[in-house]
Amino acid sequence: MTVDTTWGDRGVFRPREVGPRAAAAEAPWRLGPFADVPDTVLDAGRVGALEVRAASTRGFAHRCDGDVRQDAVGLSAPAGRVVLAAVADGVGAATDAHHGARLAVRHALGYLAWAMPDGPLDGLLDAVDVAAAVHAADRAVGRAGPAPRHRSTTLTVAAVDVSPGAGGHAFRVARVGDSPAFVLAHGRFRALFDDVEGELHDPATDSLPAPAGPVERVAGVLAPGEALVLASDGVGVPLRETEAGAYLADAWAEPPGPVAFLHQLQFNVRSYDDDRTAAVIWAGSESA
Amino acid sequence: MPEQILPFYVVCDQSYSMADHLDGLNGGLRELHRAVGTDPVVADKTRFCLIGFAGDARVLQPLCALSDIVTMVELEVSPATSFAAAFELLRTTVERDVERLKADGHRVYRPAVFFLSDGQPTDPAAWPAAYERLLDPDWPARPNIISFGIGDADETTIDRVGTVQAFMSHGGLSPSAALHEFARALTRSVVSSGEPLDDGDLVLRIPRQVTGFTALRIDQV
Repeated sequence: MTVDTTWGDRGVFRPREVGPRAAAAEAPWRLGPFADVPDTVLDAGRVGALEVRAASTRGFAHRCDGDVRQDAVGLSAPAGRVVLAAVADGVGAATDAHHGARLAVRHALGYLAWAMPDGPLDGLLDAVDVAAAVHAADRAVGRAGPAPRHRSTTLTVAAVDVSPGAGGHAFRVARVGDSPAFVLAHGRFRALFDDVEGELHDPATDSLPAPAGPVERVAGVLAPGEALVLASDGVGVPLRETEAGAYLADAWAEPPGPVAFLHQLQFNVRSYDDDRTAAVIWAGSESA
Repeated sequence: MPEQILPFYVVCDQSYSMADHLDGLNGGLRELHRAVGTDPVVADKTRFCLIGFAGDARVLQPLCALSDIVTMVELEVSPATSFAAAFELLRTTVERDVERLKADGHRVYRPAVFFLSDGQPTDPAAWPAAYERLLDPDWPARPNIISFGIGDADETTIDRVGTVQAFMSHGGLSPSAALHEFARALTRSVVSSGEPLDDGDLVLRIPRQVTGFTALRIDQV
């Protein structure tokens, strides 16, 4: 039997290098400070013709420092009628950012499950209010105790209709903050939100609770073979700026196995050491 | 391959009045060099530049990755203390460095300046104008400045120079630990998304306390 060294079978964790290697990626991992926030969470499933993968994993910086993962991700599929995904990126400067991110994801998905209309419905997504889910998460994060700013987090929420309509699966995305969303089609990531880069690279972002700006929304249709991608900027930025974009576009042309998905998310390129989180929903070709 | 880069500038007063402290500072810079070499997160994302000033100012170590340096240059004492020379050189150096990094396709974070002096400029009338130009709100690359008062430093001047924080030394302690701690903290605070202040600038997660130093501002977020 052969040993596949790319998977670390010889004791070495070796993510794909897509640029100059990060020194931080080669440092020993340190355990995080909280037992209930592990280094990595991984989820996967299939709902109708939709194939879903999600993972949230500490970046090289948090691993090397023994810091908590500040990103969070969640998936659900209430009644099998809609696939919901949420990604939150706890704001680095906030002491309880990881709590904020986890609360935001849980309450956004919880709200949508609770608000799901009964019975068959044409245009189901008109009744699935992802922006209201962001508001519900905002209230939950804000009310979780004193000093709400210490729980600051971004939140991006998506809903995809399991029943295909004309052209594919309708989807809705809403967000506060800079966690991006893309459609992966024909080997390219198309950004759904406009993240303007200034003269200098400024990591400042709007966040829950009590965001300064409005909830941004996008609606669209996921054609067969296309994928909807929610990400934290730990994935979104290198995806946009570096060879990681071409690597992931290729790796995610078809739904990978869950463990392969997790491995792909941890590509190694110097200076991109933030937590890595993505939720990806593929529209199966057979839904055409 | 585009990288995310935090340029930082250590600007050291090497005038006669600093003579007693230069050995300590040189030792401190060597320690900083060693420390960054063993701190992969900082090494991956930062570039370092050393500027020495007295009557004039000079780039002693052009912006580089500290891991690419074999031996740190040394500060050498010289006459006079022109803050204006330091701030003017800083402005042109930062401007050129940021342009070059961006031209190479990198994403550049707001530069950070560690300014170390005994706060006794010989050009009290001239330097404020040079300082204003360095912090010109219309200049996107204007740096964040953390000032350190070394030795028997003038507190008012040190406080005035620091934009995000100012520290006064208790005695002859080398600020090397402080510099490394700041390089670490600044790097970490730009690693992940930050929370914007009302004026749009980032909340920098920087140490409020530094061993051997007293912080002059205690009202940090």
